Amino acid sequence: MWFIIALLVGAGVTGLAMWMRSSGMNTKWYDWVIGIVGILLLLFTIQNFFGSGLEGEAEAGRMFLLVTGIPSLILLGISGQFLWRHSHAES
Amino acid sequence: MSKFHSVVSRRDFMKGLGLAGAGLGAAAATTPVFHDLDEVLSSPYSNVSRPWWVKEVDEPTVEIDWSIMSRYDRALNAQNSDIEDYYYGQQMIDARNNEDAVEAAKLAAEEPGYTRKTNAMHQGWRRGSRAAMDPGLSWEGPTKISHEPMATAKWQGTPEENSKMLRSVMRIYGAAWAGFEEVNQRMRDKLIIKNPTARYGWKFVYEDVDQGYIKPNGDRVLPNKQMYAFVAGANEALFNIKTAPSIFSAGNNFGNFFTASVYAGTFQFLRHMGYQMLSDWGHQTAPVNEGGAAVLTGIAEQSRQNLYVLTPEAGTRINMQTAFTDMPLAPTHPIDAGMWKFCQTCAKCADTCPGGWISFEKEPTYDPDPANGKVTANVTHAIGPKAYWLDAAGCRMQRKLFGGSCHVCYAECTFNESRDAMIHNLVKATVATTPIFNGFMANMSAAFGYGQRDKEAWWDESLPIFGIESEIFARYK
Repeated sequence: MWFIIALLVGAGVTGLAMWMRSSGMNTKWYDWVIGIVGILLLLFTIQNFFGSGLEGEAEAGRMFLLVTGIPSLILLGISGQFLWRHSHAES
Repeated sequence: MSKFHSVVSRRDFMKGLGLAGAGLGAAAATTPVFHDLDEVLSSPYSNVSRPWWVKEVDEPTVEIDWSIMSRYDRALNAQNSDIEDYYYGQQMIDARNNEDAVEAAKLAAEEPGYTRKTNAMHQGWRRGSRAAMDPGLSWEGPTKISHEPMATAKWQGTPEENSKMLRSVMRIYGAAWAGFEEVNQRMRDKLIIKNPTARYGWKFVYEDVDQGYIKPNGDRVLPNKQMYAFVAGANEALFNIKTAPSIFSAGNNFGNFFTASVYAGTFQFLRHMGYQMLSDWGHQTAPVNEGGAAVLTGIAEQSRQNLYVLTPEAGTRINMQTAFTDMPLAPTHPIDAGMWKFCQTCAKCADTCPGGWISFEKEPTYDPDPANGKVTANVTHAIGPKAYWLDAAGCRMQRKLFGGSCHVCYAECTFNESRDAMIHNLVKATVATTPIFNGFMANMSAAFGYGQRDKEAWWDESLPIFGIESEIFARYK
């Protein structure tokens, strides 16, 4: 499972970087920081959610979705929002 | 067709090769190089490995005043019914008299944890599997199996080599943990108990003999010559502990199987190597207080709960026994994994104890708390450590009130979790490194619902063999 996740994340980040380069998009350093933290938090959530399931701790799994999953989506949303604003500001 | 070219210059490429080579050279210089297997055996790298956040220290994290400690009389501990009655009188007697009826009622009603199939599994384990692994525990060796001939030539190895070898052997036989110590004068004067619980009627004594033995009056003789102690810890199952309280939630339910295996196997192994092994290896006949032995040999740290100790790998889930041998062994040192420090903030065991028998004190003390207004120092508690003190007689009464089984504190400990979710090792590593998040971590343990679980849920889960997550220990030596 983690191999596939790593492939997807790697492909996604690479694709994003290539698209940003080809569209001449300017990014700030904090765009990357927020985005990377968001991805790491999302991966952390996924691992602990499924790990908790394997341990039989369903409640803990749900708490991970709430406590770390939602913030990860918020961070990724913020990062995406910044990218969108940068691309529109330039055009 | 487009031609693709590298943006790395020849200069940068050669520079990169050089740096990589220098890095490999540095790595090689710091890596141990062995010329033969003897060097492998004696290398410190080959002996013990624990999780990286576990530090070895010279003194246990629990402070100990050795000047006030003396050999403990286990006839005074709370597992003696006269001591139980001394503290709680008729209340205790009533609880004892009703204990079987309470359990029978739960079984008749098939309450969760007492259903017919769960009880059948438990009885099958106790009276079947565990009974099959009963070599007959005795100071002079197993009573139900033939003793291997004692080798005339003693195995010659350095203490470090012997410790490594014995640790590996004990692991195969079922011990997830092994700790070693020299039997020095302090151990003889303070740690080896005077006698087991009252019903046995014999003592541990010392004599100038080469081989330990049992005297006609039952006294166990430990030779005065240089001896060594080894502590074997078997992992307990988590699935049953989390059903507490239930018919099979006892914290030493499953590990007993493996400690019996370690007892018999190690006895025979040592005889093949030309050395003796002495231990009754029993719950009430153990020659030292096992928690103390585990703390002093670096297997675990002290806990707030005061009866169990805390292992970095598996929390409360350890079943320990101590034996003596004359095979030279290199001592293992106490550890600091931040767990004792964490206990001072956490108190989840105290919060969840049904009877409130676990201390809520902020600071540990050398002076044990009274139980029901009566002194416990050197009665139910061996003084010496600066600890939090359990009302041991009250705890025993609580078990009776529940029909013979409680163990809620075992289930609730924050350090029990360790298997699949990465958060557990992250928490343990953080706790071991800095205490500033201890309060937050303790609260999260409760908020995330760790601890007691649905008592019948395990029937629908995939379980490891014997219920023991031995894969955790396969990562460590």
